[in-house]
Amino acid sequence: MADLKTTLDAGGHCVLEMPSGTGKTVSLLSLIISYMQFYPTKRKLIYCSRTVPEIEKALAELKRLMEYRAEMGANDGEFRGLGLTSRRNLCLHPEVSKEKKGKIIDSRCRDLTSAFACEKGRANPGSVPLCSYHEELNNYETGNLIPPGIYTLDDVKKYGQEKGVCPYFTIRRMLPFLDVVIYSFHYLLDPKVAEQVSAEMSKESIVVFDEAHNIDNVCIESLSIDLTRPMLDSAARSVNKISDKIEEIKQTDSSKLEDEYKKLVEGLQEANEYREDEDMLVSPVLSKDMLDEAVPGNIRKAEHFIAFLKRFIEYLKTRMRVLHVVAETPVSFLAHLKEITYIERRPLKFAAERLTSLVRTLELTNIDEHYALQKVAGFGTLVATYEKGFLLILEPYETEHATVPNPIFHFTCLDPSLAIAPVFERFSSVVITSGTISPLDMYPKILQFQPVTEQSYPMTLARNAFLPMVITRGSDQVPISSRFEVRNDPAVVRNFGSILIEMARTVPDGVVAFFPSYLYMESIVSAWYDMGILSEVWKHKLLFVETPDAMETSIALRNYREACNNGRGAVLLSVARGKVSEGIDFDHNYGRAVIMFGIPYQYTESRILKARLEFLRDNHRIRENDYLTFDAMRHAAQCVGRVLRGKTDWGLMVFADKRFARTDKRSKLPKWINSYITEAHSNLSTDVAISLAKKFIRQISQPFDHNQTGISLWTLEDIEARQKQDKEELERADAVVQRAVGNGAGNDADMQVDNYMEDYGDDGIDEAELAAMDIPMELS
Amino acid sequence: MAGQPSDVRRFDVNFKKEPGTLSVTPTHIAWVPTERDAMDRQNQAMNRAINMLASKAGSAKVSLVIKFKDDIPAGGLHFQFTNPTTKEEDRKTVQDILIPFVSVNKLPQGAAPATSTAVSTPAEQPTPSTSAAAAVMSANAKGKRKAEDASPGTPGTGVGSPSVPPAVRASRKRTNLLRQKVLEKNPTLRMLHRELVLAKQITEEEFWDGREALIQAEEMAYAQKPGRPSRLLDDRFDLDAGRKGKTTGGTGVGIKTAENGPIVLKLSKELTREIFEEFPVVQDAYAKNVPGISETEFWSRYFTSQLWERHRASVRKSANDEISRKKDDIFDQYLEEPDWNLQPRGNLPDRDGVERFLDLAATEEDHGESITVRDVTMQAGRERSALPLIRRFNDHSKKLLRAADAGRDESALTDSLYGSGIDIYNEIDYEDLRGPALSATITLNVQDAGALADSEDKDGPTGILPGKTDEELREIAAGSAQNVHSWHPDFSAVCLPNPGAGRPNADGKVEVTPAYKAFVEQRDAQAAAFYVVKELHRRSNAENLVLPPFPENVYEQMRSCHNAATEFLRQYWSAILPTQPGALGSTGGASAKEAKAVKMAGYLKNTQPKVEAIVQTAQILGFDPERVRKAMAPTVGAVSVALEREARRVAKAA
Repeated sequence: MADLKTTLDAGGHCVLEMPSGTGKTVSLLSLIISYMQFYPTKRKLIYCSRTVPEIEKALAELKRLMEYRAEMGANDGEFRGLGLTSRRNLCLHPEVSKEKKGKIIDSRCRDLTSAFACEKGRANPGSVPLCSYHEELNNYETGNLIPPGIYTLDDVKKYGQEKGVCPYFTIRRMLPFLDVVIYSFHYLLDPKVAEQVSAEMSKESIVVFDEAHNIDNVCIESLSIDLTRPMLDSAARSVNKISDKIEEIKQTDSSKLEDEYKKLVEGLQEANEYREDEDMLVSPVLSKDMLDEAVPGNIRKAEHFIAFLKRFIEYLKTRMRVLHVVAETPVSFLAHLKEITYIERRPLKFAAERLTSLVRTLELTNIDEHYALQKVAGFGTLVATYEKGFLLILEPYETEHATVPNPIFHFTCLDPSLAIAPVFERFSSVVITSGTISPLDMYPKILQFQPVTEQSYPMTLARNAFLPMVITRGSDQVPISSRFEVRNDPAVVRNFGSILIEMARTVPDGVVAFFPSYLYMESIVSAWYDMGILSEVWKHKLLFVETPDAMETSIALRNYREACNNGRGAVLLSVARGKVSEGIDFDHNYGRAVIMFGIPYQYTESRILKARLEFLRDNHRIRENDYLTFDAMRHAAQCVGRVLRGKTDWGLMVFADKRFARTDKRSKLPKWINSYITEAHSNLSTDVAISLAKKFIRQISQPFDHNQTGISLWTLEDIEARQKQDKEELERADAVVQRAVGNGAGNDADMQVDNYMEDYGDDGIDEAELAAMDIPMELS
Repeated sequence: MAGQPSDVRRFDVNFKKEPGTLSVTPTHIAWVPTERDAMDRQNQAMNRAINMLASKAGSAKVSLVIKFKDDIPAGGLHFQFTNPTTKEEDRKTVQDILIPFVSVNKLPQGAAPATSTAVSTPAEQPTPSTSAAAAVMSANAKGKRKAEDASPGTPGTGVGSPSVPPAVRASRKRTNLLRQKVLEKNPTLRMLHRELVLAKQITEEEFWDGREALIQAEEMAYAQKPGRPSRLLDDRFDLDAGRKGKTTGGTGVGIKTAENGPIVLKLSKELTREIFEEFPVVQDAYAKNVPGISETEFWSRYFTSQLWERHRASVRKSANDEISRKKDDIFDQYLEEPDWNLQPRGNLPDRDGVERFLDLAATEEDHGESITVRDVTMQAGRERSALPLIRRFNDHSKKLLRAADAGRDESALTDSLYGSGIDIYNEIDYEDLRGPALSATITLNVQDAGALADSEDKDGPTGILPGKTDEELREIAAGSAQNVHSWHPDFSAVCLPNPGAGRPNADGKVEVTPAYKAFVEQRDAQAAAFYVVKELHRRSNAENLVLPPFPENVYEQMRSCHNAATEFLRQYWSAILPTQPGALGSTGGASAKEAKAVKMAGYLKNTQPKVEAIVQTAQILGFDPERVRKAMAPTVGAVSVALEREARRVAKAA
């Protein structure tokens, strides 16, 4: 907390690693809120988390925290906190909400709520279907759509249901008035979304990225676009459709197009002004001055623009016919483009923006049909905007052995700092935190920022609550590994299987197993089935497997938890970078053991990855191997860290790969895990590991005095005592310094010391913070 | 266990004037001569015994004649019990064991089935082949109980009287089954039961009185139905191959057993049910077709059909692309495309059905449609053939889970039904971050606890040495420390060197020097001390000395006596003490209790003489009677306490 405060005072960024399950979220929130309330200049808190469950949890913690503050007599008055998520998760409209795909919901919602639809609908009730929930919102005072307080996503939904208002737009319109906003990374990082959601956030805001270990990948993803052949075909179709529409409009209402043309001359900025609710069509980031510029003449006219797009799509299609791999920089791509089609860079830059404007003018509905076209336009804009840090890769075949061409045009971002740079620039304090972001210096390097504080906090445990074990050999002494060459070796597969069987037999309640990739999991699951290994597992526990469909997996997860609760016990097989590994906790009985089958390396044959590694090597002097290991280990740690939530929790961590035995791999694990791997446990065979596990389970299941006051929970007195001690030590140190310096410099030193002491006194944690600090104790 | 050897009871018995041992097992009665080859051994199955003739009680010779079926051996066997102390009891025991057999066997053959139905216990069916110990045990017990219940005067007839209504009979049958099971599981109890009930010391009902909890536990365990086996239906892994015949209940393992030649189908009812549950389409087909075609045909067609291959969802090649497989008009219409697309085919419940904490779809949505394509290894569902398998796993697990929960309250199971509003804190709350809860202490209800505490405070010693001031204490400590510091060991004073006996004089006499005298004195003293210490050591270790074990028959008697006494005590106290609230089956009113207490007290009075008898036996055998007495002392003590109390109680009542 003290580190955090320093950071906030200094107005800089920081990286903090705190072990999972130590109350990370609540300590961050409590300090920042006390800080916000303490200083009269209201700074906003933007709290970004990774998944919806985490957002919901953070909101709940915030709500609880505010309740506690109210209890303790803090007057927070008009304090507001909300979370934002997609329409799909919030929609109340009886028909729209039935849709399965988020994209369709977005588009249908837009049809019902866009400005022109509203205008029409209000002028002439019944002519256009409108969303009653959205309409109802207009009856509320701007900035006071929902009473002050903290609402979780479900609270908002419930509120919306009661009052008949749209929860999504309630939150959207309240954003400028909120004190705390909690949403997903993407709303801040993805330029397509960030523009409209996060534009109003003041510069003074404090930004927190929780669970940020994967932030670089999010950044890269948000600036990359992949095009496929079907996508281009679909884009071509929508271009034709739009041109038909233009013809039609020309006949009926040509003045509209005229208007648009005039506006475009004045600049894009104004064209956008009156459309505050639209968000589907916002294009990637364009710098401010570009927005003010006038749109280039050759695409101002609607039909010219359509012709322009057609040419561009045709060009891309011809590029796709090439049957060998091509990698080129945006610059050379543009040069080639100009040579063939005479499309210049500048108009291409405006492609996305221009398309948006056109769609608005034409009042198109069912926007999801034109999704591919938007993507193509966005692609054009990105290519034309960025020169450095990007690479275009054309892959004609999906895999090396495929014979049927399935070309993909990757436009990939290699530099994660490009996406996050605006965030660091705009906001004075950015806190990046997670349970597993070791090594800490990697992040500032790849994200290119200067942190004020970098800190990794160890975990204080009253007992050894978890037992990490590295299994390198099966009982038959065959080394096990998920290395590509040996992973499908029957001996390895069988040994992996026997680990699972033995664990299912030994460990009570839930066991979670992670595989390095979907491909491997799917092949190994069928292999296990055919080898009879799964039948053996069935004897002890139920078996659930992650599937490609998110909803299906959620249901499997729910059943898994139920099986853990009723004592039946279950095994969950899932993938290390997959859906389950992010954001689902396997605390207590939901995960008494995690098994990591192999090291979750990325697919090293991927050309994108290769390009990225090259980029890292050239620009940041990070060796390929270092980065790969770092990336694999952070995912491994993330998976394995899911079992431990809180100090009464306990669990086994099994790393099943001989490569985990090497120190260069292990050293990249977070400190709080690594320090518990003893030399003796770092090179085990299955049978030895199982007997160790049995012993551990027997020992840990003994009744345990959970009174941790004084060890990891400090009462107010403890903290004061510690502060006093620190102070005394400081004084002593100063005295030593004085003695050493002698009397000559004595006066100056005295002065300094005094100053320092005063500072320290001020810096001491104030009452509110203290109150927030021992929250958990008082809550009981 | 202790009960195992006691299945065989041995008695000292003369047969044709030859000393030997008569051993009675639950199924056989055998006599072995003490001296080898002195006489032929005799061994007869119990269920051949048709009659017993005993000598008059009180006559000098205690003998028993057992007659067998078809008069083989001719004239039966004539045993004479010789054990001087226990011959009466011995004969009684043997008689008791034999009574039920005799009673069953005595009847003419035709009447036997009728008897068995009347008694209505499967264990008592007169099938001579059922020779399990338990069956005999229960038969034993049954006969006794019936004798007590229905016709007290005629032991051994054992035929249920027709006046007992069927409902009562059914419940009795059940109870008996349960009791039998409890005894089977509990060898010690079984021994006790034999010693007390079969020896007619107390009745069956009395024995079980106060043991209702055992019966109930057994009943509950018995009532539990075995759940569904969790394995998937598959024929390829006969995991139980090693212990075939042991597993029942159709796990699907070993549906097909191809053993050189024709395929053998083993279909049990459970298996069919399981198949129906797993694959509803099969049930559908079955319902439509089976009256038309025979069941055998139906199943054989099913197991050779493509549908079955599909159902197994194996990824083996043969399962999917074998075109040579013959067409089947029934099952092929149920064939459908395997469920191997990314989106599952089945209807998923509404998205509100899943708690937000687990809602992965929400997150996926929140992150927006991914515009990049993940690399090959990370694309889920690329291996299409594995998907149906995975789906089947999930489905199967879910079914198992639901099957286990069927009939239970659904809402109680799902740990937190979303939307209740409170549970959200459950998700974020760490129990361990709460302050330490005060452990729940149970306050002892001590009378006048306050006064007690006060008095302790007043009188109890405070500090190290009460009554001394700190200065004094410090002085003591300093003094002791001083002592320790200034202590020097002086070994030469303790252990003198041998100075030698002194130089011999001129006249050859050895002059004893004073030093030598001192040395001799010391040596003698040392020797004496050594002796004393040794003696002390021997005496102090005498208690721990390994003593020769009790002779077996004495030990048996002691144990039997102790067991009986304990049981009587239990019964006695349960009759005397007020019934505990919530205790099971507190039968009878005060008068019944009273009667029981008196009866038990009567039994208890016999304990002392019994012990004396054992002591005597021990003496005869040349064993230390004192040890027997000591070993029995706790038992005797407990009995005497009970008896004293009984005497007081009686006196008070009078």
